[in-house]
Amino acid sequence: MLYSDLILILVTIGFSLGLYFLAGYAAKALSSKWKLCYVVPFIVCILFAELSGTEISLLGVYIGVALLFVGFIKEDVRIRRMVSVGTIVLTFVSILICLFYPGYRMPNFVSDFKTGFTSMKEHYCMTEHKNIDWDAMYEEYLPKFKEAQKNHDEVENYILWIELCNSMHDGHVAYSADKKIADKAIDKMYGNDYGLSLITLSDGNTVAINVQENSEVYSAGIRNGTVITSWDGKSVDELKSNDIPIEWLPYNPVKENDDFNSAMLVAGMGGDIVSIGFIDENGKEKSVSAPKLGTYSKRLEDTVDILYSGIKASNLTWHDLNENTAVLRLTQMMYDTDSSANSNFSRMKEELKANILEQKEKGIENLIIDLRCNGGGDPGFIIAIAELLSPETEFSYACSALWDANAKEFSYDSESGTYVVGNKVTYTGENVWGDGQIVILVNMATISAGDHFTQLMSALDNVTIMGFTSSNCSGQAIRGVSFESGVLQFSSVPTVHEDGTIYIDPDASRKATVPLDIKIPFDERAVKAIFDDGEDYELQYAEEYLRK
Amino acid sequence: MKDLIKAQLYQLRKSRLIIIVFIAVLLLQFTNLIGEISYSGNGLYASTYIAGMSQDMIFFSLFFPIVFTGLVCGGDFLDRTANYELMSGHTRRQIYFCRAIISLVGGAVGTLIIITAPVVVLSVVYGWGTDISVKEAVIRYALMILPILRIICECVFFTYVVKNPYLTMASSYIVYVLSLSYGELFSKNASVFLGITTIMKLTKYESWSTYTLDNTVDMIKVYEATLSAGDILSVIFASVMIGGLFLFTGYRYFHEDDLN
Repeated sequence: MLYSDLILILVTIGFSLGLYFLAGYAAKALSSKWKLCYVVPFIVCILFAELSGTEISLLGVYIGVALLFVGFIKEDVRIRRMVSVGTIVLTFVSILICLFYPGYRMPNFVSDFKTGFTSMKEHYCMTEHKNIDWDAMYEEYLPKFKEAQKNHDEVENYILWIELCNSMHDGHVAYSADKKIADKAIDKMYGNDYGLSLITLSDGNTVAINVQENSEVYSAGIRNGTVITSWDGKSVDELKSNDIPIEWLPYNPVKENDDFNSAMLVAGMGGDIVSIGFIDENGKEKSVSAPKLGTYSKRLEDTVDILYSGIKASNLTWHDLNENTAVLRLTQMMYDTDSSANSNFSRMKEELKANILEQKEKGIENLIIDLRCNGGGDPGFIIAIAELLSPETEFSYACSALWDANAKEFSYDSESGTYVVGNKVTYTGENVWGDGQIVILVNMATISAGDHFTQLMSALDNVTIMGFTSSNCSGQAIRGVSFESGVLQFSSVPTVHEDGTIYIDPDASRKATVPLDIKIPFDERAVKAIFDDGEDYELQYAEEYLRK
Repeated sequence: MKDLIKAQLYQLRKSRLIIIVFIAVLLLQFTNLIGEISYSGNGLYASTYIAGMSQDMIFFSLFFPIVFTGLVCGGDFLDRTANYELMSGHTRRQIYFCRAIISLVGGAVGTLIIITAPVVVLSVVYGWGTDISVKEAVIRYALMILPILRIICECVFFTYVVKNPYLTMASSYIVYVLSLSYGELFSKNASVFLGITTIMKLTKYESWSTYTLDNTVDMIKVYEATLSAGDILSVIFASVMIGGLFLFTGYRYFHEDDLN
């Protein structure tokens, strides 16, 4: 129970008892000021209502406080005592309701859905670009949220928001809520753990990864890289295309990246025991009945972490890979709060410039920029780095859409389906790095300003973009709307090309707009290196590429 | 009743304190306004002032109805005019409601003048602007009359309990400041259960900021001024119900009270 509700209940009982015993004295007392004691519970109740809002389960308390007010009007000892007793009884009824009613202090999911959805519908900046049918979406989700409300199911409410957000195929559309609820929902969404995860290789085979050693599947002979032929009586491909809840795939603007991820979700499907068909080390097809070990979400999280996290180092740190190759780790496009507040990254730029010159003095000729899992940040940061790495000429970054102050929205030309272009952003290269080769490592968790930087760098001849998956391709700026059950964020500030078309974000076809120059093959060698030997395969691949 | 109202209006015309307080609060509003204009540099649109800067000054202007109500309702307890009115055949209901009505009308009108005067001046000098529409501002100012009336009702009740204008003014202001602090400290989303938080709800314009890629352009603040039907109804319902209850409670108390 909420502390403020508990205190209100105790205070109301206290007042009722006090006024019960005061009733006789107040009637005898000459001063009418004693009557005012019957107004005090009402004022206290108002203060509590202001503090934590009203709650239907506390209706008994509210009626009780109103009853006490009768004692102010009726100066009859019997009536005053009766209302005190009545208030105590009603308050105890309220206690029981608060303890056992599942909807106690539960947010109104339907109202929250309407608030969040309406805000997103009004301000989302890629409705036409991504061909979003808001009315259909509303019709689809409203009954679901009503059902969650009816069942007072906050976990289902969370899952519905995740589904809705991911169905937009925009890495900037996200919902967040209380961590406990989120954890429960994620456990429910991703199913059971059977001791392994799955992934589809570049050749189309689906193999086991992240296999738990002391599990049934391990005892049966399944190892990292073992080809899985069926899952719970169906082929993995069939499950991937028909059965997995595709809306639960994170990082999903690009269709091709979804395909890379989807087998991971299959590994959580099934009941208490799941039958897994696989090819053993002798090439024979076998199967194993694997019991569930717990919830799959932890293994999934671990698998995603192994695959996507990149070098585990701080932002803007340098690492020597070999005598002529260095790695610059960029986890986010942020430096410090001062720089972000003033959008002035000159100090960071000076430091980075000194670092680059130092690396060059050491004989470093090749640079790998590790952008994997880069969470984005400030465009000013990107420009500062891009200036250091680009030749001495002017480059076009992107354009802002024109803000219409009267309409309170960015000007959109519905005839051409493009935004009216506002300011154009350019930058001039300083060629500090020179002609040395640069490899940029990305993955589907390289998002937002990470996408922007990848896009800018892809224009340079000496830059190669590589990774297992392309970058996320979500390049618009965001706003958030908060309501009782959580916070929704979505793309609301358009960044556009010079012709007013959307910058970076893919349209409804979901093709990568910041494509890879080299898609690193995800094969048996990669599985072994990553999951058996704990190596950073993508980094090794980039190093090998630069050697050649 | 008519005679009582006339007598009160005559007293009001002669009351220097009310005029001084009215002018002082109005001057404060304009002093603040001049500060805001010089801070903004290139003039200040009326809508920008309403949406982003007027809230604190509106709170300060509520000093006027407190003084006004204290003097109208409590002034006649000091020189026993209320006792004489009773002895001359007027009922307690007439005595109470004549003063309450004058407090409600005079307090609300005076406060509205204080609140709207800077807006009118800015509209004439710099224009309205685009932050919020005139209609949205009018709706909010019209609705604001209700919590102001509610606060006056609370003051009327309080005055009839303490029966001293200066004690009323001092203690009402303390209660007012405490409820303001309470609202700001504890109320997560301004609600309608206190008069002051209702005013907070009406003077706080939900906003979000947007910006463009070009960081040389200032951040754009967008106000969402439209109130939902639920908000409007809750403001009306809570203000009328709670204000009415305080007015009734004050009357019941005065009706049974000994005037000494």
